[in-house]
Amino acid sequence: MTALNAPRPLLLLQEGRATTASSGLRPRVVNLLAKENRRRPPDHSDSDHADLYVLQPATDNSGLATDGQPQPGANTATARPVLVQVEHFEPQRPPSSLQFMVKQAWEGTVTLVTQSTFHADLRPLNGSGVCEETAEIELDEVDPDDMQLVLPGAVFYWYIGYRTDERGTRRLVMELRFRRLPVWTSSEIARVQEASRDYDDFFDSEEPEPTTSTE
Amino acid sequence: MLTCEDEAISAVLVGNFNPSIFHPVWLERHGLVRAQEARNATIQIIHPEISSFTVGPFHIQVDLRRLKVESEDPGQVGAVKDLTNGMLSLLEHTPVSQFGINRSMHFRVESEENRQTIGDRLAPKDPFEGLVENPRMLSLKVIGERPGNPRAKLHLQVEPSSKLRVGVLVASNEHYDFQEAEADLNEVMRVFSAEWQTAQTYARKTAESLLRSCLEPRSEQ
Repeated sequence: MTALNAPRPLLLLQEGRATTASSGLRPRVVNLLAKENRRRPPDHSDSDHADLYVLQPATDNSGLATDGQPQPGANTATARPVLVQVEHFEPQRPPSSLQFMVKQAWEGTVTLVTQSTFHADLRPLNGSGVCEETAEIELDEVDPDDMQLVLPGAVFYWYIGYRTDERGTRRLVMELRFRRLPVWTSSEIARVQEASRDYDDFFDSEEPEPTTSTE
Repeated sequence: MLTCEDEAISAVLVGNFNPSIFHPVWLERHGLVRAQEARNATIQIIHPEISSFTVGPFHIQVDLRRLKVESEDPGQVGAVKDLTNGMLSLLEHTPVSQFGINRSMHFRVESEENRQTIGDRLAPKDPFEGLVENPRMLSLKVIGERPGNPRAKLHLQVEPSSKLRVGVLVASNEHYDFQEAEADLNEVMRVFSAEWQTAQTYARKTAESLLRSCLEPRSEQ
């Protein structure tokens, strides 16, 4: 597995030889093409495969831009970009998640938050959708990364079922995940504030002169 | 007894995408995934023409024409929808012409005999008598509509499971096409959100009902 914060060369080519430097990739190098001879990959509408990639030099994470987009890092001197025709690309995933057999499933809306619990209205996901139950859930059941989302009005999904591990042991588990919507970034807020200032200025400058009564 | 032992839920959107935008850091920065999940993400590839990574229970795959958000955890049905909607709302100018609501389910059917019975009920072998020796159903595809939802095409596929030794795969794809209607992204997302849960629930119930009916003893005629 490739950790997010480890150097991630995609397919490192040195002097015409290809090596797979990253786990999770299994390309089969078929031909080495001249770098001017670029071809767009065909349109696959039903598979996970692609045939051809323009490869970038090895990168590291030292050049992460402030908007979170990865940028080529400093240590790229050794590899030159070369086109490689990859016959078959299979995105390798980690082993599939432990089997989870859902027994009950609800969509909930938080109605009240106390120091140690929150209250919610629950709607069965496999039923009519009409609110049928209320619940009081311990805040300890909430993932730490979701705690900031536990507010009145927040929507969450609550699944109860059996999870079977690799050894075949079955356990009753509860899965609780809050709905996430895109958050406003500071640059977006700044843009909106600037636009609102512009509107303020516009309407202030257009403010009509007080009229004199004619009565 | 039928037990569903392996499931995958996915949303597939067809349009024009920029794969290099999609990255666990990007998702975490916009609050779409948990911070810990983004930190522990597994990246297969991030490239201008294809990106593929796993963050938490979600597998994201995107190329220039197709975005796929998938989870093999049936407890994430709602979260897959939210993540898909969240990404699309950040890419408000992305043209999306089609989407599919997908669920693939591997059922254990207890015995090879039961599996043969399902195959015989869905694809009777009588017409092949004398023409093909030992005919067996390899895969069956049916297209139609979900009752009450004529706007989408429902594809059902039934075949022996590749994951379970004595199992049957039922894969459901509910396909929505907006090309003729030239709907904007807001309309696409509205329909996607409105139909997602119903389509997923229907897929599961249909699969169970279909296999159970195949295994019911036939009345003597």
